[in-house]
Amino acid sequence: MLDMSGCRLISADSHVIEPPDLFSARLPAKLRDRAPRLETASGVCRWSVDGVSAPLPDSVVNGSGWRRAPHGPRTFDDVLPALYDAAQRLVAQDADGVAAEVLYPFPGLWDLIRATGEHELILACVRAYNDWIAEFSAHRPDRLIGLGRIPMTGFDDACEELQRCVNDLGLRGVIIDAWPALGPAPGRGDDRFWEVVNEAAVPVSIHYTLGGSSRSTPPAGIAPGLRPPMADAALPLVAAGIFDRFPDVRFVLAHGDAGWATHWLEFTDINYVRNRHLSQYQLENSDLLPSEYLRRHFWFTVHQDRSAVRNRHKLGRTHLLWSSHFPLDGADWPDDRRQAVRLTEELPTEERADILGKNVARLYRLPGFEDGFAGVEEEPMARLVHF
Amino acid sequence: MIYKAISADGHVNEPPNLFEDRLPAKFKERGPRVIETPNSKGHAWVMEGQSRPSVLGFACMYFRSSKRGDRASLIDTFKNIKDRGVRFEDMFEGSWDPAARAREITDDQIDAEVIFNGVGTVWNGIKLMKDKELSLACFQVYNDWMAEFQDYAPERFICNATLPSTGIDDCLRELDRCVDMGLRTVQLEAYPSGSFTEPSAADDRFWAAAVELDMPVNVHTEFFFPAGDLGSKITADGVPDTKLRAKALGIDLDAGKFPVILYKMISSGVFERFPTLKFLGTEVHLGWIPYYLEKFDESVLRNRQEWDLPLLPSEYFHRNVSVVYIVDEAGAADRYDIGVGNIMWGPDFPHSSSNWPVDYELGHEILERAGATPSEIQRIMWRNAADMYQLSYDEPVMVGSTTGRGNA
Repeated sequence: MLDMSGCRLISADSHVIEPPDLFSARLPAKLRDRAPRLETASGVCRWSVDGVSAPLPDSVVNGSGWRRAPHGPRTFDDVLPALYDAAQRLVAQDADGVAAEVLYPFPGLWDLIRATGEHELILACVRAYNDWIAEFSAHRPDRLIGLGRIPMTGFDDACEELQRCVNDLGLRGVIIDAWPALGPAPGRGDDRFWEVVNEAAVPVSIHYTLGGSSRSTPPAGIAPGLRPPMADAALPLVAAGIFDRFPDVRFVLAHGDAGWATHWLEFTDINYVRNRHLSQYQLENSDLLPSEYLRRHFWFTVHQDRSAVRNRHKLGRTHLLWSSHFPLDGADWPDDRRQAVRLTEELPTEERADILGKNVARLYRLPGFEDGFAGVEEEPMARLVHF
Repeated sequence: MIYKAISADGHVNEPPNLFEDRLPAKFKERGPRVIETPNSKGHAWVMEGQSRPSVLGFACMYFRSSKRGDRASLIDTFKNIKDRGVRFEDMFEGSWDPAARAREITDDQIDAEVIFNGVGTVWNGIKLMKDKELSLACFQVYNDWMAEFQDYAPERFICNATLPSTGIDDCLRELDRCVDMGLRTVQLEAYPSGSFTEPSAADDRFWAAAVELDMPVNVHTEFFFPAGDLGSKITADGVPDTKLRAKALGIDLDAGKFPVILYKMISSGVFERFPTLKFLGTEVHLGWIPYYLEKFDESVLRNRQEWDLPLLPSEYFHRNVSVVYIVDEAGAADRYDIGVGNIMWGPDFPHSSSNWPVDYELGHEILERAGATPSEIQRIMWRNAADMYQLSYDEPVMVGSTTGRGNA
């Protein structure tokens, strides 16, 4: 195996599992009897909201989708403590050779909470989670990079919670699962939200999908290797002029890899160059192609994705962020380091260090990387179309 | 002979009177017909049961009145592209007249062409007709015409039979009829059973027949090419309108997309049961394939117990599947991950994605830019298609040339 001793591994997409008392202890008294609760049904521990439940994945038992757990978690006692206990998480990171992780919640739970459509309940759950993940991260802020959730209960709620995440809770990034003003497409009505994002320069994550009723992890049984649905949210942001008005707004497309993206970028440009005279979207800066906006403002988390690593110069090599997916199905814990080594074994040392850790450290301005990407030499953006 | 270029993807635009002239008397009044669109002053097809006309929109890029472009001015010619307001008399006659077509492709430096139906124009409407007998009659009328088109110059035109989506028996009968008429390839508008979403055991009779006849089976892009009731626009918000309309019609568009069809074909074991089946995705492009195969293989390798086929997905792909692209820089660069023997070039003439009269020039340029060797360029620009469609040629003399399909 290659010597990786000089290379800090930081996962840009890892998960926690919310502990049993997160909501029951933190929700206002009048909402407590409706709080999401853990239960065991059909022999599997699951989160349940309003009588609908989502089983915890088998891999929360051993952190690995590769060494399949003999059975899923029967009760919460079967869940790896590292998934909800900050001190234990550091031990798990050490075992895995991972220096730090960007932390997302358990997507299945939030799909349930969102599906209730009850604004008061959703907002209370979001606030409880954000308080909890801020405390979790505070245990070791340089290694536990919790992201805040933005509620989709109204524009004022979204702006207010964004301010709270950034200013009061000290979270380094946020996750959205709808446009802030809840419109069908991004528009001017969202501007006050992007203004705050722009000023605070906090990356905004979309985890696999964006939109009201859709799932935030890939459903089983669909063809693998397709473009994740969240990609459809990207061009509307460009078309809405968000990046023209707010040049420091940055997005992370999480949990979706990037191997699909070279083709997507090329064909977005082709479609634009050929058909822009028709009644389609327009770009404010006519010197730029849509892929140039996209490559400037979007970052991609990559897991088992050699295609993206090979095409890094087309995607922008400072825009690829290695991720372990710990503890969801794709994870290899405690062998994520081996997976990361294999993924990048053909890269020059410096590029490998970028993809495996430095890019994400710059993006979230982790200790030692407070200047972000300033001073990092941008490689010229490869032209994707040649008409 | 040695070819310069064989286009593995060209189209007719069905002439306006095709169905009216040829349908049996009882259906004459009910077939697809052409109307004037009042606002855009163009032509559109109307079909029984469809609420919106299918405009001729992207059906062509080059008009008789257009100034002829060259490589240097290509980008300016894109302004000619219209999504509506296209009239039959403005289009190149080769859209339906084989003599004119032969001249047009010669101008494009193309020696031979695999010809497909007009996709979005009439086909969604024909497939969705409630009266299956009428629908079948439309397929038959079209195939009769294709056979005549091909007969004009069989060395130049390899015309696809469009197989009916009205059921497995119709599909098999029409396959036989088309073979008798001399058609050498077929395109599917649905799985052979007629399902738009799922392969089934009933399909096996068709795959067996295709193997028996050594007949290449094409899927052109997807089962529902957006037009008419589906719409084809990207709105000012950057959102395609097709999905919403399809949902309202109860059509699962995603299930009809080539990568999903391919996933279902591979994982349901079609290529395991029919190891010599030749399956093609036309106008599906290339750049998505390396990642798709990587993830497909990975999903199998991580979950062996749920995969009972002896080969990996990518192995079935490399053995049984060919893909056709128009312009694809990323795919050309990634050709070794796809397989040089699995790739064919096809400029989609005369549709709005084509680049007539510089298709050949641009196609060659893209492969050169990607660093392809002369033998790779030959294979992609004509030889793989010649092998697939059994067009004879003299063995090109080349240093370091390789033969056979599969990985380069």
